[in-house]
Amino acid sequence: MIRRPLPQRALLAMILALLVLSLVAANLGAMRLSIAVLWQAQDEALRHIWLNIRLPRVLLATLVGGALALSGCVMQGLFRNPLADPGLLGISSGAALAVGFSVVLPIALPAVLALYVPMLAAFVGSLAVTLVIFFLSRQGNNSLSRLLLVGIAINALCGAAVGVLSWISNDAQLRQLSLWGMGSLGQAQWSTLLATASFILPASLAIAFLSRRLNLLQLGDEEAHYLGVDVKKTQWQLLILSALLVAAAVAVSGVIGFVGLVVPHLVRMWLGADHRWLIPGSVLAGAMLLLVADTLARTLVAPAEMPVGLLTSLLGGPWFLAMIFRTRRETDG
Amino acid sequence: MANLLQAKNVTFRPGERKLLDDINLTLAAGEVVALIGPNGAGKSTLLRVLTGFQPPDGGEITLAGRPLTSWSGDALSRKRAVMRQRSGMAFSWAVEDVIAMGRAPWPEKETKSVVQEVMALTGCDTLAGRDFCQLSGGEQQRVQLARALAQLWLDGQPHGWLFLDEPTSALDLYHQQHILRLLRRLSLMGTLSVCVVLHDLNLAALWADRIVLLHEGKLVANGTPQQVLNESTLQHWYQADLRVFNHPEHPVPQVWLQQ
Amino acid sequence: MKRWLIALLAMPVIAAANERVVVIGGDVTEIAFALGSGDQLVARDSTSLHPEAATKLPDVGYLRQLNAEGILAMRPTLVLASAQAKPSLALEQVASSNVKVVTIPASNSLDAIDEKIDAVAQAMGKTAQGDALRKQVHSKLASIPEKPLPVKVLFIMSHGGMTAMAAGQETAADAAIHAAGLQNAMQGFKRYQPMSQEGVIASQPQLVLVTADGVKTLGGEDNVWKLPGLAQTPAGKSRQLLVVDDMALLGFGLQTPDAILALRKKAEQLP
Repeated sequence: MIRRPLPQRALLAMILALLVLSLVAANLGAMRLSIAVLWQAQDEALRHIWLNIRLPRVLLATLVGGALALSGCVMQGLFRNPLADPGLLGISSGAALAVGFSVVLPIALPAVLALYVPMLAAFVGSLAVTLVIFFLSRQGNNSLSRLLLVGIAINALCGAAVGVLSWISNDAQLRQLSLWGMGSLGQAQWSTLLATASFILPASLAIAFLSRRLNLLQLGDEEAHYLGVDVKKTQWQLLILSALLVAAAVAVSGVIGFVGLVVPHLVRMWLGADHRWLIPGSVLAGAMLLLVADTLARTLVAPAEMPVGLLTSLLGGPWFLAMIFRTRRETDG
Repeated sequence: MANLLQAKNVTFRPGERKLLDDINLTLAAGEVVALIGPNGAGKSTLLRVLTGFQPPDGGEITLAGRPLTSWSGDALSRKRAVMRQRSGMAFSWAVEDVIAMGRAPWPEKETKSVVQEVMALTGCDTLAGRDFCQLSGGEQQRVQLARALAQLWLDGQPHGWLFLDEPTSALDLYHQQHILRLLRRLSLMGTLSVCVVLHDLNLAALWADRIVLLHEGKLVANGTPQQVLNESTLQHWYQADLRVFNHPEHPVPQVWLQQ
Repeated sequence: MKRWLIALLAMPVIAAANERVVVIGGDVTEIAFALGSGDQLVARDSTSLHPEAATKLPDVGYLRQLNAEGILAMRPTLVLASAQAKPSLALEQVASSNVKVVTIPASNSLDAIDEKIDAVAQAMGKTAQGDALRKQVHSKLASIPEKPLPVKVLFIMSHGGMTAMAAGQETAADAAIHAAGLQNAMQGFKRYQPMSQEGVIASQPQLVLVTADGVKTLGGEDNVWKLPGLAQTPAGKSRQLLVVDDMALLGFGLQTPDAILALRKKAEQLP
C-alpha cells in the first residue's frame, strides 16, 4: 500500500516552512542584523547592509536551490532514472572550463566588466554546451541515450581541460578555481539576483506547464506518443529549460552539487512521482536546503565563509542514507 | 467507411530492406484480429505503422475515412490505444494513477469514474492502492490493459481500436487465458476493434475472429482460423514440422509441433 | 589658542586611534604592522600569516573568496586590499556601504615594495613611518650586489600529490632570481611546467631553490635530489640547495629584500 500525504497540504506546509526559514535566515549572518532594522530609525548604514547584502543573498539561495532541484527533477523524469542529475549533460563542466580559462588565461577587460567575468564566462560555457544539446536532441531516434553519451564525453573532456589549466596555473589561480568548484553565494547582490531570476523564473514556469506531459513520458516514449504527447518536442523543450536553469545557477554560484540529485529523489519518496506535485515540491525543498546550507556557510566560520557546496553534501548525505535505509526496511518487511 | 481502420498498399522501407510490402488490411469494430508470423515477419512494425507511430513510405492508412496523418494527437489518442509487451516504470506510481494516465486525452472530470469501471472490468480492483513497481508481470499487464481501455472508454464501453503487441508472452497460463477472454468479451460489445500480435498460434485460434499471417513484410494470409491455420500454409511459411488438429471441444484448429 | 592647536594636532592621532582597519593580503598586513598600526587592525585574510600578531586577528577568508557581510561585520572604517584580491564583488559591496576601500598594488618587482609601503602609509596617515620603512628597505636592497652573477638557479614548486614543477618566465620566482642578479636555469617557457629529466639536466642549474612548504611536502631535503634529473646537475652533484620561506621570497613584501640577499649570498658562495 502506498501511503502518501495529500499533496496540496504537503505543499502548503512546505511553503510555510520556506517562509519561516527565510525569515530566520534573514536575521542570521556575520553581522548581528535582523529584519527589525527596516523599521528602526537609527542606523541607515545597517539598513543598507540588510537590504543590499543580506536580503539579496537569502533570496538568491532560495532561487538557486530551487533551480538546481528543479533541474534534477526534470533530468530524472526525462531519463526515467533516479540517478540523473543536472550535471549529467555536461553543462556545469562547460561552465567550469570557461571559468578556468577566464582565471588562468585572463584577457584585459575594462574594470566594470572584470567584476562579472567569472559569471559571464560560466554562462557562456553553459550556453555553448546547451547549444550542443539542443542540436543533438532534435535529431534522429534514440537521441536521449546519445545525449547521455555526449554528456559523458563533455564531462570527461572539460574535466581534462580544467585539469590542464590547473596544472599550468599558479597557486592563487588554482585555489580560486577549486573554490569556484565548491560553490558560493557570495556574488549575491540585487543586480546578479535579478539577472539570475530573469532566467530561472520563466524557465521554472514553463517546466511547470509541462508537468502532465512529463508524467506521461514516464510510461515510455512510445506509450506517451500514443497518448498524444509530441515526445520529441517535449523532450527538447525540457532539456533546454533544464539547461537554462543550470546555466543561470552555475553562473552566479559556481558548482553546488548534491541538491539536484538528492532533493527530487527525497521529495519523490515523500510526495510520489506525479510531476504536478513533484515539481513545486522539489523547488521548495531545494530552496530550503540551500537556504539552510548557505546560512550555515556564512555563519559557522564568520567572518570567513565556507563553500556552500561542501555543506549541501554534508547536510544532505547522511539524511539521504537514512532515507534509503528506512525505505529498504519498509519494503523488505 | 465510418468505423474502419484501413491500410491500403502500405509499404515501409527504412533502409535497404522492405519491412512492410504492399499491405492491405481492414480492422473493424466487433472483431478480434490476430497478427501472426515468424520472427522478423514485420508484425510489430505493422503495428507501429497502423497506430501512426511510424509513417509509411508508401500507401495510405485511413481511420474512419480520414487519413491517419490528418488526425490530431489528442483526437487520435481517443480513438486508438496501444498496449505494448513490456511496460516498466522507473518510479513508484499507484495503480490508479497509472490507469488514470490513459485519460490524458479526455477532460478531467470523468477520470475517477472511468478508472473505477475499467479496474473492475480488468480485475484490477484487487490491486487498488498498490505500487505498480511492486506488482508481478501479470498484474502489471492487467494494469496496462486497464490504462489502454481507459483511453478508449466512453459511456461505459471501449470505443475504437485497441492494439496489443504480444500481451501474453510474459504471462502464465491463467493470465493468458484471462486477458484473451477479456478481449473477446470487450470486442463483443460491438464498439471495439482488437488487433493483437500473438506468437502462440493456438491462442490465436481460440480467440481471434480473423488471423492475418505475415511473412517477410508481406501479408500472405488473411481469414478465419480455419482458413489460415492449415498444415500446408503453416509449414510453408513457418518452415516447421507440424500437424493441425481440431480442438476437442471448440470448433477451432490447434497446431502441434512434431518432435 | 594653544589648546586649539594641540587639539588640532592631536586630531589625526585621535582619528587614527578610532580607525578600524581590515587588511587583505599577506604583504599588506606585514607592512601595516611594520608601520606601527597593529593596534588599528581588526581583521585580516587567510594569507596574512606574518607577523605572529596577525594570526591572532579574525580571519575573513581567502582573498579571492571574500564575502561582504563578513568584512562589514568587523565594522571597518578602512579596508586595505591587495590588488591580488581584485576584481571582487564583495569589496565593491563593502565600498558601496560607505567604507573606504584602498587598493594596494601587487606586482612582482623590487620597486613594488616601495609602492606598497607608500600606499599603505598614505591610507593610514603614517607617512613619516612610511618614509622610514622605505629607507630601511632601500638600504637592504642596496646591499644586494648589482653585478650580475652567471649562476643558474632552478626554482621548484611542489605541492602534496602533484608532480614537482619548475618555474619559467613570468613567475614571481623568476623575478626574484633576476632581482638577485642571477639567472633562471629554465628558459623558453612561461609559468610553471612539470620537471622532465632531460629538461632539468639540459638546464644545468648550479643552485636549487625550494620553499619550506615544498620541502615538507617532498618529505625532507634528501628527497629533493630524487626529483627527475636533479642528481645529474651541477647543483645535484654538490648538493647546492637553498630553502626559503615562500611568502618571503615570492610575496615581494617586507621580507623579500632579506630573502633575495640570502639567495645572492648563497650563489656567491658556490664552489
